[in-house]
Amino acid sequence: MNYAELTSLLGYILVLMVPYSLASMGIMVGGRVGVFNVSTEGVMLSGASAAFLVTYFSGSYTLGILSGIGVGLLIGLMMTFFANKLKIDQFIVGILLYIFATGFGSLLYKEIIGITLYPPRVNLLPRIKIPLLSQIPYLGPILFNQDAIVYITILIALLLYYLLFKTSFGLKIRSIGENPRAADALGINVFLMRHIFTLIGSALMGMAGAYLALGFTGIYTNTIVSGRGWISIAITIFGRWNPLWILVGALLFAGVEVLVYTLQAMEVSMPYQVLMMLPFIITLLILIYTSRKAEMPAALGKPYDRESIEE
Amino acid sequence: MTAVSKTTVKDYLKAAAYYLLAIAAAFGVAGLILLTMHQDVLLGYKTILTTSFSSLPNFALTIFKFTPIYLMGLGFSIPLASRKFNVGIEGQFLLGAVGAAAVGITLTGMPGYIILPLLLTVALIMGAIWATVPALLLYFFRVNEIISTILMNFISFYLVDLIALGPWRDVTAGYPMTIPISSSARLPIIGSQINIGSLFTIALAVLGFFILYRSTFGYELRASGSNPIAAFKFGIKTSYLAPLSLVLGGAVAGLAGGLEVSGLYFRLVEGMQSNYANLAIIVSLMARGNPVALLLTSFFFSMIEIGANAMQRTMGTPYEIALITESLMMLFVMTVDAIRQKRR
Repeated sequence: MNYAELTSLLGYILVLMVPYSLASMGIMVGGRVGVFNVSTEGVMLSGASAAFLVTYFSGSYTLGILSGIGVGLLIGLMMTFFANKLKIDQFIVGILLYIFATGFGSLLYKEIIGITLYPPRVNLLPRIKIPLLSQIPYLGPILFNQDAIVYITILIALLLYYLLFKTSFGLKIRSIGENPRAADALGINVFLMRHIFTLIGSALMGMAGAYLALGFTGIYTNTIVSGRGWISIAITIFGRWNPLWILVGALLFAGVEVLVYTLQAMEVSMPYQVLMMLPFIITLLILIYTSRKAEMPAALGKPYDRESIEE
Repeated sequence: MTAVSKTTVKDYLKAAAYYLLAIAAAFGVAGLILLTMHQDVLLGYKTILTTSFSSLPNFALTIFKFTPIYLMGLGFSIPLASRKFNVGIEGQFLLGAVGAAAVGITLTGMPGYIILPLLLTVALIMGAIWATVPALLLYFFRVNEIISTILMNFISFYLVDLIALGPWRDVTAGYPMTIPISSSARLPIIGSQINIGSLFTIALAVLGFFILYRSTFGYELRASGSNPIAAFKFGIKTSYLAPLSLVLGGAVAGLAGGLEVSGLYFRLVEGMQSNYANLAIIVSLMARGNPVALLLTSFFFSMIEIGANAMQRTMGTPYEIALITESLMMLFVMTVDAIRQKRR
């Protein structure tokens, strides 16, 4: 493997880090206010479908990403209505919305594009070469020759970390996920915050899907997400619901995926199906590893009802 | 919800009316989607609701779909009693199919009365084994079963691909599938269309009902699901019940896979799981995990499936509209429940 091949391969780790970390941060943001949104996989598919279609017809990446976010908000609205307003079991709502969003994303594409022999294609997001820094040998082309969303994702992670862990507002938000009753007693608007952060979380998931279509594949297929949404839930748990650790976990899984592609390209004497199983097996192992010291928001998955007696 | 209040016929009728309203609302949304796609809405409704009964072959096809949806629904319902979500029925179904194909392909020249029970038992065991992994992860490490069972699904997809393109590959087919199973490993057909597999569902419905609602195990399972702390204090060993229910659910889903191989495809075919898992989850939730009510919801959804497939053929409407309508239906049913509970 020569220098150019190696740097482009390692550069892909950052590209793949984006959908994993955006989706995981979406799950984390909801979890911090006590809402465990497992519809991720479906929301990502819908986001990818909408973003691809809008960019394909308008030629604008900004509009594409925004429509991915928009679809995320739409499904987030349903999530927060059923789970926070009506207080229906979050897992049931999440699974049903996963099914709904999977159907929705696929329907959108089928209705507008139809079934074609060769799928229509958009160019991938343009890469931004940061002057000087991108000239650094090895590191430069890997770290400083990426598309805008890669940088934006890292900024979002830093921003969320600062907001949640370094400000008093963040402390209030996290207290909702730990003990909503106490937070309510302190005068924090628990219901409003749950609505807002569920929406933000779902929007991030939609953006993750949008990036898959615009920054990674350039086409839409029904298998574009292929389990990355579910793996993102594991990354969130691995990342202890902390944006910076989630970034690390996302990098790790992006690395595993790139490794699988590399081994495939090198034609190792292992059936490719076994290689494709690897990320999922590794995820299971990581879930075991993190289970011993899993730190989760204490009120995760529990609806908050002022009138109920039980905690 | 309390045991004291007696449900009268009037209450049942009231509940039925509310649920009909929820189902109608979901169909209403489907109609709106059809409108935006410039389709004939009334023709769409007619196709969805009547195709199953339009001819004997269509009805037989409905029953063919009903069997796996019902059994996978039961595979979801048993763990649901202990508040566990077995989203892994898809993989468990596929492993059952793998086991059935292995028996049917390798054991030739044996009479049907030996090979058929063997094939179905192997399918059952394979499904159970596939569910044992998440069950053990739950028991020893308290790993969330939704994530672990889904991950097992993805592993099973690649496993099926590996086998369908492996030594048993049918090289004459242009699609990943194995060679057919021996003729004695195939389920007999009764009447002209309907195979014995669908009779299994009725038997299992009764059995499932008795296990969940009339046995000590079922009682403990439901107690551990509805109030784990109280159940624990009453001496119920709650920690092993939930994992065990996952394994049982996996066995039933595996059996569904075996029946599909032995009664419909006669081989392992990639993608044979269709979207049964999603449907099974919804019908199980709609039946509140009750195996007898599940008969009704499964049949209703099989009907919608046949109708939606017919719509795709005759009207060119993407099949996905069924998936959207079905998930909304369940969300609306729960909305009705939530509103009724608030009023109480």
